[in-house]
Amino acid sequence: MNIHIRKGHDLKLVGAPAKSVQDINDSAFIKLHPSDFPGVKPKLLVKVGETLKKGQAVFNDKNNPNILFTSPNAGIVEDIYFGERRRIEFITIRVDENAGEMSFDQYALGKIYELDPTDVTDILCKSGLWPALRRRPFSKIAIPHLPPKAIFISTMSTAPFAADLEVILDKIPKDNIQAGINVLQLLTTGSVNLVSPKKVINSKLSELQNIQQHTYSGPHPSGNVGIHVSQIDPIKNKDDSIWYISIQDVGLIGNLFLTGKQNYRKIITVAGSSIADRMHYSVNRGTLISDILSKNKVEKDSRIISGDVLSGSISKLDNAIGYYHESLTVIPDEINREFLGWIGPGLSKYSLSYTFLSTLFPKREKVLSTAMNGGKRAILPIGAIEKVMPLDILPTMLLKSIIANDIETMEQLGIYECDPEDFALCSFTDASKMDITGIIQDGLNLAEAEG
Amino acid sequence: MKFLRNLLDKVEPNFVGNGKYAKFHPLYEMADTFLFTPADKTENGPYIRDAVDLKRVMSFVVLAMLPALFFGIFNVGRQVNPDAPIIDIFLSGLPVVLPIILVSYVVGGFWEMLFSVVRKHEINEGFLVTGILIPLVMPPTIPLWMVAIATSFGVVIGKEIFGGTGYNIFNPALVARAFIFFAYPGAISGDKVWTVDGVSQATPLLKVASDQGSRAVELLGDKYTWWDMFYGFIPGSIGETSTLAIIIGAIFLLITRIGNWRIMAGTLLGMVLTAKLANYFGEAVSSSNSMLFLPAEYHLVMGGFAFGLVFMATDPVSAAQTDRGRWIYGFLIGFMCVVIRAINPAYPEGMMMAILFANAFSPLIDYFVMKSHIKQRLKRFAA
Repeated sequence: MNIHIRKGHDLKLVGAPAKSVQDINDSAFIKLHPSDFPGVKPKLLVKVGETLKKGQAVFNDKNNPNILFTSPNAGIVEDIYFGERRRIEFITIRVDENAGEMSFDQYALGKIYELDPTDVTDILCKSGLWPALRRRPFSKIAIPHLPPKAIFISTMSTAPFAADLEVILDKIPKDNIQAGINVLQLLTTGSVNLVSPKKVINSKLSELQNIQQHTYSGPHPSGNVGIHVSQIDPIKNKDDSIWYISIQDVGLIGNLFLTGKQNYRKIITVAGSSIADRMHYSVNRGTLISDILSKNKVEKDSRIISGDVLSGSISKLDNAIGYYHESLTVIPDEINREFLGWIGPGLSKYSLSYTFLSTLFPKREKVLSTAMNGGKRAILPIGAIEKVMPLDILPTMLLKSIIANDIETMEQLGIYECDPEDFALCSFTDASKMDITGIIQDGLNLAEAEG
Repeated sequence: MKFLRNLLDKVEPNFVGNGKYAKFHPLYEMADTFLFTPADKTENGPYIRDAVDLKRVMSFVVLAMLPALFFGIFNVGRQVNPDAPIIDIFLSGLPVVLPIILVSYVVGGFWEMLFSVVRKHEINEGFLVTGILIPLVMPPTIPLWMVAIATSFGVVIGKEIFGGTGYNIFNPALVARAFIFFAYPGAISGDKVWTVDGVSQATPLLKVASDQGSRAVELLGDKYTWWDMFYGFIPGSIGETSTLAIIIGAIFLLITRIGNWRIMAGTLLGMVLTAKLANYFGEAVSSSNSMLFLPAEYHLVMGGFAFGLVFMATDPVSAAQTDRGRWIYGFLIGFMCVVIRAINPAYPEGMMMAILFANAFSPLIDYFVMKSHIKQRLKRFAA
């Protein structure tokens, strides 16, 4: 089926990436950030100075010790940095490709069906690819041996500067995707769904077998997995679960089973108005942002965001790119304080409201900085957030129930269908500058703990 | 502008942390963000934000009221100086209206600042709107001390005790008006208060309500034609007489999407249907209540209906907050307005009460909309 939504908005920003791809190789160091994985309590499995093979476990999750987080390259543990309350902030690995790599059994494409789901789960957990599978509700790593009612493969985000699906498909052999799908099929009793943009027609997708294919169209957030799930197989309550994964990771899983070798490379975009060379890059997981941008020119006073500008996280040059992130966005971090800006005509302002003259020229791309553009105020329900909320949710009522810690009402209003990223445009457009995505996250945390 | 910016930056240390006037930080913040767009940066995603903020939204509501305000000043001036050139008429209205606005802003602003300083939160722009709404719903003869007391009551009891803008149940400006209506009825009803020239003149609404007869429109006679009332050349509260000026404001609010069209449409629909029903009912029982016979288009241009529909009912905080709820809420206002006008001849101006009544019901309306939404969700899941 085609999922078409009308409520939403495609942000028109200066800084879109070109379709060309450049390879980035790891230089001296790579880093792992356990904070990339919400809900994981990391337990170190290595010591400083230890030599690691590519694919060897670095830490695991205390709650699910089988899930291993592995080193995307071979090398020596250089540093383990602890932050407040001895939380592991990052693990630095000095790259040394001579240290070798872990290897697994190889399977022919046609043989994957015959594998036992338990074995498949174990292989994925050991290989470090399991964390690529996340579950809804809560958007945390999938729990092994608790099969979901369906698995969703997302292909291309509709957030600004998303990696282009054609570019991605170009880099992944078709067999890898098919093998990955065959593996996923073993992990669910229900269907494996692939949702791609309606406008992308590619033989690598159309020839895939053993999968339910859907398309989406309409403005952002039409590419969000939450929107697809709500239309195809909605999350009805807390115990319901679906898993989701990016098509790039499906290719990596397929590669693991077909070749027995681990590969952690992915395509990302580097984009935004404050960076010079905007294009796609092929990088390793753990590659430092400074390496990705080494030949690039970052403007003074910029903010580096790992991920997209709506739902990524604030980062810096000596961090690695986030495990789940497929873009690196650089935007101006300097605020021009305009005189009497609240009453100016606003020809150059970006707004979904109709209170600026720029409304008359909706197609113009603009440069947006990190400015809040206003003070925080109490909720003022003028109906603006409803216009960018395609889910069957009453956003104002849901937010109020979360603020009131009313778990029962939250559940009835559909909190389990929600993810902060689906509310990013609500935060964006709210005149009261409320932290709506944060409130939704609070609601999910509360519902998970006590619901 | 550089000079102002430097000045603000220079005095800022006094207003933050351990500064001498740290208590009055909301005042500094107000001046700072009034003059220059705020310096705050995003901390959580999304890292970019819409250019709109509450200052803009609220000041646009004030802009929308300007036609009604200017016409109100003109209309008051007409009573003082009826045969002068237009500009002189306007100028003779100013000394009557401006002091009322000034008192409302000064007194309301004082309370707003006091509560901000005590609560340590930023000054909310909501008062920009309340401060102009209050004068516009007052008769021009209102004593200034009454404006001061009513504004205090509206802002403190109507809003601040609930937690400030965003938390209030009733529209603060209507609370202020209701306060005068109950505390000093002589100052806001009857036929003595609507004109400043000392000649007593009933508002069209009062005229129809107090004279009995079966044909409401005939009671108005030649004194007030529909078009007089539409343009606004009638006695009444300062801002409510000109339906034309109010419609201009309504168009502005609808284009900028600040005023909710569902509420406006619901209110209009409720009024028209109820008026038609009342006309029919009056005919059927051969009532002598002239108000029952008032056609819908007269309800629209008489009294505070149009003003309330455009500027009061649409207050997003005290209105229903779901799309379906907004229709119901609006309809309820239109319905109640006609009903009160028809069955309460002592107080023919039904709009204020109708809106306050609907304000009280809006949480309940939202509650039922929410319940039916939840039921629909369950049905969808069961399918």
